[in-house]
Amino acid sequence: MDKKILIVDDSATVRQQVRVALLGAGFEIVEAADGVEGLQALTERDDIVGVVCDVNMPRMGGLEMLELVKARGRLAALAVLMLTTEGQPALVQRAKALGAKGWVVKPFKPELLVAAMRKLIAVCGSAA
Amino acid sequence: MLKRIPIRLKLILLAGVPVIGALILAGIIARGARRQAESAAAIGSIEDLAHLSARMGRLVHALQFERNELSLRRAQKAFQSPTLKERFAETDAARDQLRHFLAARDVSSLPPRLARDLKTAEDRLSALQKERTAALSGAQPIDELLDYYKATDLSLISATAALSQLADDGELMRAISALVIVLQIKERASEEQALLSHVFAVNEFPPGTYKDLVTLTTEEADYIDMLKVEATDSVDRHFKSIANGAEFTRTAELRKVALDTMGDDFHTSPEEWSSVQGQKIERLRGLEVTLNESVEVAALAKVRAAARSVRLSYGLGGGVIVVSALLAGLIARGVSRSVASLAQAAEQVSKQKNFAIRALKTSEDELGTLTDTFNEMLAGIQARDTELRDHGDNLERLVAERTAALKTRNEAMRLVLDNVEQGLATIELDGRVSSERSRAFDDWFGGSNAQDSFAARLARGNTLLFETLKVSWEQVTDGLMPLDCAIDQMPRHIESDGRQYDLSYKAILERENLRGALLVVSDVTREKERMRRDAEQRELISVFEHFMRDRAGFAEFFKECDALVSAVVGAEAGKPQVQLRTLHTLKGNCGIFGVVSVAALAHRLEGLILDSGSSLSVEQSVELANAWKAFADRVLGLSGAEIESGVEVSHDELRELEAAARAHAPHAKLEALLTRLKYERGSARLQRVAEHAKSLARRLGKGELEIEIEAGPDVRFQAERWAPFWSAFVHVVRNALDHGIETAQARLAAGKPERAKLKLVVKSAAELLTIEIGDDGRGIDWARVAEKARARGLPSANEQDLVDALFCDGLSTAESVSEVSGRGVGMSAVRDAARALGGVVTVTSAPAAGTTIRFRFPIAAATRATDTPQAGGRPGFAASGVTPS
Repeated sequence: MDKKILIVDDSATVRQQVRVALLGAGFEIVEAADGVEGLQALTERDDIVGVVCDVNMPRMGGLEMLELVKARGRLAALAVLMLTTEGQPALVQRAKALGAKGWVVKPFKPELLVAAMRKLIAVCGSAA
Repeated sequence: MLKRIPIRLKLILLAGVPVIGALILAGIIARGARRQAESAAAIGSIEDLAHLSARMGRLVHALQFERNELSLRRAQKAFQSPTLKERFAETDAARDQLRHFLAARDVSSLPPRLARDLKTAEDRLSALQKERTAALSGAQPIDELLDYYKATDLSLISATAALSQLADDGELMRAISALVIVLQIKERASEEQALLSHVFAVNEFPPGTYKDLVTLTTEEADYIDMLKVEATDSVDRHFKSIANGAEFTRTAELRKVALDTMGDDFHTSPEEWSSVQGQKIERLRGLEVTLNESVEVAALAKVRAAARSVRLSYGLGGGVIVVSALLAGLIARGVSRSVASLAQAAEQVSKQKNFAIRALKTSEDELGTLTDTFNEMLAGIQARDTELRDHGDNLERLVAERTAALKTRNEAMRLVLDNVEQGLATIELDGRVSSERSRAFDDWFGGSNAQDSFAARLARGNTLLFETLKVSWEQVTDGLMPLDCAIDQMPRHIESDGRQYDLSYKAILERENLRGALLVVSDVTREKERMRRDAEQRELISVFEHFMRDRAGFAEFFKECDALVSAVVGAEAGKPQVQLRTLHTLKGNCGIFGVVSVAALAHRLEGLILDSGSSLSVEQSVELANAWKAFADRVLGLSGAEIESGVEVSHDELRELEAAARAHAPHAKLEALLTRLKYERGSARLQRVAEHAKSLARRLGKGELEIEIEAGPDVRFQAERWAPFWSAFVHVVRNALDHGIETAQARLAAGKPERAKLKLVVKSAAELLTIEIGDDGRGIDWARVAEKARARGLPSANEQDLVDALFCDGLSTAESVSEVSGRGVGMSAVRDAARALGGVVTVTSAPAAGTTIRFRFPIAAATRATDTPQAGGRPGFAASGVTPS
């Protein structure tokens, strides 16, 4: 089932918000507190179809993680949705260039996040 | 080829078929007529030949009498008989007549048998003179003489019989046949005459002549029988009258004598015989002439009838042709008139485009029906034309009306666009802004006609905003994200030229495909300003209330916040974590005193530090400094002077002091009482905390609190020393309200009273000063704290570890970050403040029953109470409170 999502955010609050939204929509969740954990999760599991990823995190940020994931050739089929704060177009552009499929500004609306994740997974699934 | 032939000609050709039939018929009739004419011509020649026959009959007749005369005179040897010469002359005249007749005609055109027989006769006649001479010599036997004449006569009679070759008419044939039979009878009678004239003259039958006579008699009888069969009634009657005549009777008698007489003496006059037989022959000659005439008459009648018939045939043929031609012409004319009328009408209609024209109906046949139908069709077209014209007129009117309506609508739309207070513009897929925009949009963002991008228009040189708008629109148009989600990421608020605008976007879809978006820009500067002023006003009122209620508390708050802001802004701000904690405290303090403007900003800056992981930028620091200064200016304007912490004295304390003074109490006592007044009363402090808690509870939607204050009457706090603690204590209050106490609904659902309880305690006992705060909320989820602690690598083995973790920087179990709490910063700040005063903190919590957080401070130094804050000493036991004895 294409329903396992990795949440990468150093804020437990944000992770919890994302988790609640996605669990309610029938997704399964894997959590990571930073890029290192996120990368590890992606390395260990191959059933992750989507990633909701923060940008600024201790140890390893979202973009850095994306770079490494991309380098491992995993990114194309991943529905990566970035979580950003307002007014960070440069980060968004970098993330997009690295293969993120979309971005959502915090604080986000749970229902939109779910809709975005569903669509991105569908798009990536059909493209893969 | 055939297609180009005019219909009239075709019809004539069509009608020509029966005409040709008629012509053929006429031809057949004409051929019949020609045959008849030919036949008539032949009969005409019969008529002519009847004349020939008459002449031949005359010659035969002359030869017959010449033969008889020769036979008689030879027997009598009277060769000089004048009668004989007369006979010769007669014969020669008849012969000449015949010659003349033939000379006038083309003998070769005669029927072949006739010609042949005539030739034979002529050949024989050329020997006539020789025969006469021989006969007159008397040496020639009588039978030779008779044979000569007989053969000559018979060839002439045969020639007459040849006439029948020309006729196919029964009556004529019968007449000719009867004529020939009569000639044969007459020839036999003539031969008998000549023979018996000789016999009676010589009184003997020359050898063989008797037999000849018998033969002649038999033949005559046979011919007479034949005549009876062939003859018409009149001829029969004529012949009977001859046969019954005296001549016949007498000649029969004389012949019988000749035949019956056995000896040679017949006693019969040859002259009598010759005469009577001659009369008989004359009578037969009369019949012959009559018959010859009847042949001529019949031929003539036939010729006339044939001529009539020919005329009739030609007339009939001609009539058929004329009638056929007339009929054909009439039909052709009738048909072609109808067709011509139709064609003419059609041509006129085609040329003039006049559908009022009608074809003239000239017949009641199928063409008539066709004409009617054609006319009906024209009438139909005419009616439809009229209808179409009417419809066209109507359509033009409709179009004009619609155009006018559209113009009106466009004008109305333009009017709306020119007057609407919102900036309206459509963003095209490529990000360009369309040319149709409201005037407000152009007024705000420039009225260039160039279709530059909406991002450039809105940003007006603000690169960050331009990029933000650009990337967010790209996300909308790249189609990866759900449309509403992508649009939700578009900037909602911008500032430009000192004005503030709210933005909203409405996707423009065409059959579910994105075509662009309607951008609605609202100038909210005034509203924001009003809201800001309202907020300021509310803030000021709130601050004022606090100020009036608790001047000392407010002065303390103000001083502390001023210091906090300086700490954040100042060069010594240091690490992000320190800055974060300071901001958090500032946020909490401002929240309690209702300084929303600074609290909101502090919260925002907190978020920025968390997101970026780095300290505030200079601009952000200045922003905070300005916000605080703006607030300070307002507050100073309100209080009219520097905020100074005053001294609160209760009436009891004043009375106690008065009483002591009147009673001349020892100086030390008075000093102690006065010194005590310099310190803040515990009850006043708790009252202040309670007020903050109530206000906070309302803001958090937790309803009205039921607050119980338990303050030892003898507890006072040295303000400056305790300020950091009370400042940080705000976080504890906030935590209790935000996380401990449930919402009214949740409380009711859990079977608790709707109003939550908060208990604030300040008391002194033995060596300890206790400050505690207790709620009846949901209690602490220790398992979760333990989980968090482990996640952060903190010890979590025992209760103390967990309490320590609870007060650790950055550990929060909160599910949401609010302006009020949730970032795990406040609790560590309060623990640090307590430790600075030598205090320890304990936590008592029971699930669903509530949490009590208790701070205990040693008051060992209480008796040597001093207004100077103590630092150092035994950790956790630094003097912190005084309890005047």
